[in-house]
Amino acid sequence: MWSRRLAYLAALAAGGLFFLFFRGYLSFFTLLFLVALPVLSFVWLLLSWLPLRVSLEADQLAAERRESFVFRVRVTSRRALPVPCVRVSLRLCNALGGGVERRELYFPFSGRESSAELACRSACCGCVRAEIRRARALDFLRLFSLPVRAAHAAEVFVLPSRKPAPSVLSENSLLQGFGELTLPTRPGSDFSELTGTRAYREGDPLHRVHWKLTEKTGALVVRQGSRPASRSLRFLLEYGDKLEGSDAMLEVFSRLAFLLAGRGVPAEVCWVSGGEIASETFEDEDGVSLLLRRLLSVRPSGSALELFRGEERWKCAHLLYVTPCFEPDQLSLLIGEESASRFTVLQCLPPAGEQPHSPVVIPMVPEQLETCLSEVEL
Amino acid sequence: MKDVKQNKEARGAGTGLFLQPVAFSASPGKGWTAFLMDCLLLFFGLFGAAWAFLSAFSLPIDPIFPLVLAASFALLFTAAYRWRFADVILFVLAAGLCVFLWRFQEEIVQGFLVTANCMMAAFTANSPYTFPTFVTETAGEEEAARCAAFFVGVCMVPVAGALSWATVRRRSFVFSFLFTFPFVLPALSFTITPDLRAMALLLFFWGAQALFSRKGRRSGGKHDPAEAKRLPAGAFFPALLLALVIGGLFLAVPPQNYERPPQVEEWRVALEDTARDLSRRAVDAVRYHGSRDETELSELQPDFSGQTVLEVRSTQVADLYLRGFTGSVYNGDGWGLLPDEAYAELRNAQGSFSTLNLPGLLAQYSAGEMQVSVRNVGGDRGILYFPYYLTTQPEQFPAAQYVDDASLRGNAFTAPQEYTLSCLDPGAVPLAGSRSVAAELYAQNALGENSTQLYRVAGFYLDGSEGSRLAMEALYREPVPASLSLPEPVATLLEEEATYSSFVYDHYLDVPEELRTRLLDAFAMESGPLEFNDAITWVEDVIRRSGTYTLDAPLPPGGEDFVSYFLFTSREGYCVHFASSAVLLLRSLGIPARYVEGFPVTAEELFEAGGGGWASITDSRAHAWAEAYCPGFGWVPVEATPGGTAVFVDPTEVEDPVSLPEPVSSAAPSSEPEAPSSAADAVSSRPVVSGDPSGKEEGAPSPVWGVLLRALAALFCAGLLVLLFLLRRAVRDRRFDRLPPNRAVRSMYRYALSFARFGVPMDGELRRLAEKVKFSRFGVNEEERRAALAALDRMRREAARTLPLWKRALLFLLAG
Repeated sequence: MWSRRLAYLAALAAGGLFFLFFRGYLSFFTLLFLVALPVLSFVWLLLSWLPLRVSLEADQLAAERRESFVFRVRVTSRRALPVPCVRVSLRLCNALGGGVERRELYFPFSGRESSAELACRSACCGCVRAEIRRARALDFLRLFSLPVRAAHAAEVFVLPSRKPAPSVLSENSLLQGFGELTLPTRPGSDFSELTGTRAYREGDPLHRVHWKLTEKTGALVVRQGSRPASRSLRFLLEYGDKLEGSDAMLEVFSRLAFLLAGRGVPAEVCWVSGGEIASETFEDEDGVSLLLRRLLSVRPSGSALELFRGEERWKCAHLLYVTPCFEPDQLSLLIGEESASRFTVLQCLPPAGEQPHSPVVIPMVPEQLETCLSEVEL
Repeated sequence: MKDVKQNKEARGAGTGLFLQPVAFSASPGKGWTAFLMDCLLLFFGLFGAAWAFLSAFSLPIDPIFPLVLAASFALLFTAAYRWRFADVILFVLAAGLCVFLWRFQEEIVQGFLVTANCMMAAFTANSPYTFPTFVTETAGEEEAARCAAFFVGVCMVPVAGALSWATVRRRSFVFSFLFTFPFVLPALSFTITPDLRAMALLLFFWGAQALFSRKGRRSGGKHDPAEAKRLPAGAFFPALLLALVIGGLFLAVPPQNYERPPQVEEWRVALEDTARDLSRRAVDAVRYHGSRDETELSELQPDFSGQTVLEVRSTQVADLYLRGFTGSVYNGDGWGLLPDEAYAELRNAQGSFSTLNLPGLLAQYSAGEMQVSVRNVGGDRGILYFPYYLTTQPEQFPAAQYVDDASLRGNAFTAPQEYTLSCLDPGAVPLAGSRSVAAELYAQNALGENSTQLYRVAGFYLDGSEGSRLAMEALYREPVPASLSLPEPVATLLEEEATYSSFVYDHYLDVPEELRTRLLDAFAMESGPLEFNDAITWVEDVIRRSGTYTLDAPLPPGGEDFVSYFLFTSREGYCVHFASSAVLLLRSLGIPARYVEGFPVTAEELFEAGGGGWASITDSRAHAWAEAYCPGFGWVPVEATPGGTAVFVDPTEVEDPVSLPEPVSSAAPSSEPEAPSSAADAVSSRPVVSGDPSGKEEGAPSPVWGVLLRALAALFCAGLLVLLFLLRRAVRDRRFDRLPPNRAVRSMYRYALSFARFGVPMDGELRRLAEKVKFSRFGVNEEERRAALAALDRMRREAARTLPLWKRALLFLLAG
């Protein structure tokens, strides 16, 4: 706008010089005209500005990675007088991290309603949030501007893949004498008491089948124990400093979570939020979806492993530490950890080059994710 | 609207987001309203420009004709752009125009001539110049009007095409203005006002374009092509408002009631003076500047840089005084020119010769002519330095302005840097001191009777008494002897000289009364009548002895007379002090005199320069002296500064040197122990404000510094060049990174071709990617862009490794 103002001042100066050196009426009239023109422009702006509204919306709530979604900015006016120009400053960012994109949209002189569609694709999952930082109405000559009320934000969840991982899921392979997988916090899960029945899931031991109910219902039904057992699967999610790291981590987790949910295997997920460990469980695919929405909006803060270890209450059977990067010295921390009987580290962005094979640390090379996930045993 | 294309995405750095160009959609303007608006605007622009042109130059064409044409073109082109057959229309019109031009070429040529004649006539009527006109072959006025209409009609076709593109298609104010303003610019340049109604139309058109132009703001780095092309229906109201404003302004201040405020005229004059002054200062800031119209003696401080101001060459070796400024009126602190009324009187009385040429033309038969060339290398180009006894007349030196009897001036920007003037050898011009004697001498010499015996009139007194003054006045007002039959042009020249001598006596004797009294009391002496030379010599001697030469002269306290303070209080000064004192003393005695500033050039310097060589005159040689008027002969320099003399002694004369000091050559040491020993050293006092006031008193800077400076300058230039090339490379690399991948790869390939021309083989990967960009449906993505960059780097390294040094340097220069 300053360039416009300078241009106008230059034009006014030229008009002034024309008036000084050209003695006729024309020069005087030209100068008057140059003075009157911005006044006219500003008056029109005042008349058309008040009923103006700017809104921002997204065309969908969620999208896949690299799937297109649209943010739509709509400018509406309740009056017949069209506003000369509306400038909207947009800010786009991914809640998981990364940089910020800024765009300035100029809505040209048009009728009562106009809109601009900004089609986006995201290479990384996360919560892509668009907000209007500033909206201003400009006059015809772009010399003056007035603020416009604007609805502020819209967001789209870019989800990681929902395809179940090709990992090995074998409850019997976890530990000797392994029984059902139950959650320690689930009430009434003591084996000595039958609290209920449920549908048969693959891997359930045969001796737990309730044959009578099975005969009656026509579908396999197993007995549900009530004694809590320290037989649980826990994910510890470590967000990376960079967006790519968090994206890779969530992709791996999502694949594994959908595998477990599809098999009816509940699991607990821990992550750092607001400087503390937050946790949530999922049992089915809806639960995973809801959990993912929450995880996609997390702003990384602090190391999950540092906060997690040493906490007695987090005891579980198998801890899967999903992290973008893993240092060898962190392994020693895990070895001394007593919160789980078994550890598996899924390193989502392994460094290039040959890595020493380790039964605990499994690299998750993004280009070979299928192959890497198949090496995971749950 | 969602025009998503893979290869047009912009990936934000570090955000993982791929953003498409913004797609705008607006409630479309009602088709017919937008059409009407565009059509009207185009019509106003086209007709306004044509009408303004016709009315400004009074072309014999009825405005109805361009009105109809403009309306037709406006409708046609607007429809063409609206329904997308503009290409067809342009093609058809171009073809039609070619046919029309071929069929009516004679009429169109005549029309062009008629139009040109009208323009020339208008220019001639509105300027002090006469513009040529062309001969036309039209039978009468009707025929001329018809041909002019043909020509204007033909011109309107391409203008309509261009303006329609600017107005309807592009909707650009800049282009609209550029395509219409040239029709009014020639008229406005000559203060010709076109028809106000036409100008109103044009102003409306420009105003509407300014309001509705498509300001191509960037969205995501690219101008969005989908921005609304049509004006919305609501555009009608601001256009109407604009028309009302223009109409209202006309009504509020009608043309017939308009009176230009006098204050504006004052501002204009002040602005012009300021601009002139600034430009002069700008020029002077880097050059030595002498006084032009006045000089303030107390503000002058000697400050020399040693830079060469003039280079002088002469066909004869002689002492020369090159005059720059002549001061006539003394105000107690400085010298200025005579008032304009006095010069008006002189101009009215002046005959066919310039007063600056009178002495030279009169004495041309008595003394030999020489050529003096002056090259201004470091001085104010507006001051043209010229010698005494100038014979080059104004018509022979048109670049110079002969300013009455005072100076030669030129335009500071266009004056010749080098010029050659003819003058007489000043040492060979005899000074008799009487017009009648001079007339005899001139007559004899004009007739070829070269006389070496000269009778000198002793008619000058040193007592300052009224009787003496009256006696000397008689000499100055002595008419040309009627008894002498003088040949032409001597007779005319003498008559004019007599008139001028009278003018000189009337205007060049003013001295402040109090100072005159003090001077006469201090210096006047009883004496019998002296010859002119003797009187001058006596004044020189007296003034020389009255003070000590020094460049650190004290300034007179505020309000005190400059000369009075020098002569009676400080008794220390440099050339300006001595010169001013000599002028005022001469005037007090009754001898007309003036103050002069310029550069003396000695015979020695010219001799040392050699035949054809140039003598360098530095700023330290700037000098001030007095000049006295010898009746019948003209102005004669009076050198009163210790160390120099300007008495041109006739070498054939043998005189009793009783009252004459020993002839002192310019190189001889003077009697004053502190004074410099030669005129070449009788230095300056002129204030030197040059571009490099180094504060040195005299002398050129050491050559080592010059070499060092040149080397530093060369190094700086080389460094600048390298920086420029590096900047070019950085800009190019940035472009490779910022452009969309397809364009980036194309640019990289084009850049890589320059390597290939020097023999570096094209990288296969880069070629493959370039082919993919060109021929594949989807182009390349980010990873492939990085691969292309890597390939380019490989080529660069290969070039550095395999090419010889000279090829690498050439590659660096040409391709960066």
